[in-house]
Amino acid sequence: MFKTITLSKLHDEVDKRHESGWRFVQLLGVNGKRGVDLVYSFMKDGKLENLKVKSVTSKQTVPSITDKYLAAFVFENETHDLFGVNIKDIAIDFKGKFYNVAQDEPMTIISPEVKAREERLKKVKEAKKNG
Amino acid sequence: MEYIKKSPWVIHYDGSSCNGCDIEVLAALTPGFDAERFGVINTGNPKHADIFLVTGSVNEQNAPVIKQIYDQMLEPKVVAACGICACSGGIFSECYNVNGGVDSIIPVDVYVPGCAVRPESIIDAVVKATEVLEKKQKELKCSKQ
Amino acid sequence: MAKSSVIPFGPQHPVLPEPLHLDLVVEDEKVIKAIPQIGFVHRGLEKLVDIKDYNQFVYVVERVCGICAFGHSMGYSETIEKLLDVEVPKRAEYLRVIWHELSRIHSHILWLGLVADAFGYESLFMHCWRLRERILDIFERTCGGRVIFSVCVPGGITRDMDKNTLSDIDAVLDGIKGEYTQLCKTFLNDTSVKSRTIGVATITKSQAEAMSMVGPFGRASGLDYDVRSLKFGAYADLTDFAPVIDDQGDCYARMKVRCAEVFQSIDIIKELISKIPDGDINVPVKSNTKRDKEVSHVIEQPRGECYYYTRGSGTKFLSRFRLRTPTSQNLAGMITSLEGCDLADVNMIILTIDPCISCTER
Repeated sequence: MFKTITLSKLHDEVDKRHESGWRFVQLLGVNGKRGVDLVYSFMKDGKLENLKVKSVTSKQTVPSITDKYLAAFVFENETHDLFGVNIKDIAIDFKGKFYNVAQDEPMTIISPEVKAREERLKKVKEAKKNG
Repeated sequence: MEYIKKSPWVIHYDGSSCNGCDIEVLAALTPGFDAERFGVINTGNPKHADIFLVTGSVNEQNAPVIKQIYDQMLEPKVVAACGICACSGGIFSECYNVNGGVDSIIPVDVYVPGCAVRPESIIDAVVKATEVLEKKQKELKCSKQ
Repeated sequence: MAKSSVIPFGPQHPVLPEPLHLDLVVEDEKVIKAIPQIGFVHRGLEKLVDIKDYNQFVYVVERVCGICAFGHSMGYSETIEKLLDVEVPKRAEYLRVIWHELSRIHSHILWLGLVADAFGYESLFMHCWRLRERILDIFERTCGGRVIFSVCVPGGITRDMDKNTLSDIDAVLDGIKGEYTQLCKTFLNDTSVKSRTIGVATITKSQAEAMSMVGPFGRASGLDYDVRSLKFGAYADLTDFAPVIDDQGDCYARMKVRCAEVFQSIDIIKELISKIPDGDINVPVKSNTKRDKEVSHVIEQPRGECYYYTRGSGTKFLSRFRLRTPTSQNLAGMITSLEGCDLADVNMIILTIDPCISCTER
């Protein structure tokens, strides 16, 4: 189950879930067209819920949830290193040295194969529209 | 003391492997395949070892570690790259954080393919490596004289 | 006045099967803080979705970890089947669970051997791994490989097991049960094992909840959570399933939970073998993924709950695939359990959380 929320409401939603006893499952980043989508997952009584924050750019700052859920520090450091998302106040912060990768923000790089596929899909869509 | 190939000691290091080859390296030393009956002992000290078994490919972070272990070993020494990831990068060779197989930073003497490498192949590799070791020891003696 | 110093531990260490670096801040022989540094195994394989389509990517996901290999291919296949709305035949679901539970047995016996080696019982390590070879023989007979199987694909499985093979598996498990009971007696009743594990690195239930721990590590501290109780796939046909829980939260409790889980898995496999239906083992899966459709799924790996996420792109390629493994969730618990322990116990405590660093870093 996926629910979209805004960045400003993120910390309040996480607080609410912590109060009602939801368990933190994970945090992931997905490369979107206008920025990085962040998906936070929580579970209670067998029900899995995913909160999506869409299109976060590197100019925005995301509040950390490690004050409520300490286990999130691993995923926040990883999202910062691989996607370039700015997360402030992480409880255990490695400051970019969690994974020492050769390229910066490797998951945001759009590879030539993906570009070629997107071009092809666009052409197919236009051809269908024109009949 | 002349017969170095009678009981080679190995040191094993895992550099970005998925653990499949590592557990097969350990399985080669346990009952079932039992390389210990040939005198092979798994040591943790690079200065005690003759053969360096490396599994997994090389990335930015573990390249200096592998180089350091290799440099600390005493001559004559042999490197055996176990598993296809150590030989050439394997299925991950196109990933952004993989620089290639182990031969991109240290010279490799024995290549053992497989995913995961079988314990029988590892024992074969150790036997081949001891022959290379004998040759190296003879060359070392000749060059000293 | 105690002086504090920093001792580096790893990445190369005789007792560590995987590279993990810890900076241990110690005062005399007590560890005050442990600062981890991982990243030695990071390959970046999640980016490979760009060049491998969803049918080829299952072989990459399997090789994330050699010990939990079947679990990852099963979780991935179930996620893709959810994405494409494909229903697999019942027989395939049963066989998948049989292989997955055999994987759990082999992983726990492997772990018991490593723990025995960590506290000095080398002969017990050899006995555990000798017993484990029988399970690997079953894998070799049914899948062709000992470690990486490549039998579970989106749509079902690629190899079937006939009646003879299933009854042979039953017989092998009966044989293993007797010897394994002896091993467990040694592990759980020996006084030196007890003195090294009881009361060491205790984590209370409230601490476990605060750190969102999963798997046997969390169940040993009293957390009642096992994904198999959610009844996905063939787990729904089991007559009764209850997670194994202990409330002491120390290293001894973690050993007890894993020892008991092996017996539980043997019972699950025997029950499923007696009930397995006939039928097909796979359905062809060829359609394109739906653009921007997102799916998430959880399964219970030997080390805990594993979460899978995928997003379609409109073609046969996925635009994103992500797996979150149990060890990355348990890292916060590991760091907490190391505080206040003796320096000589560090490697044993790390092993009791059953770390799988290559799973964490992918």
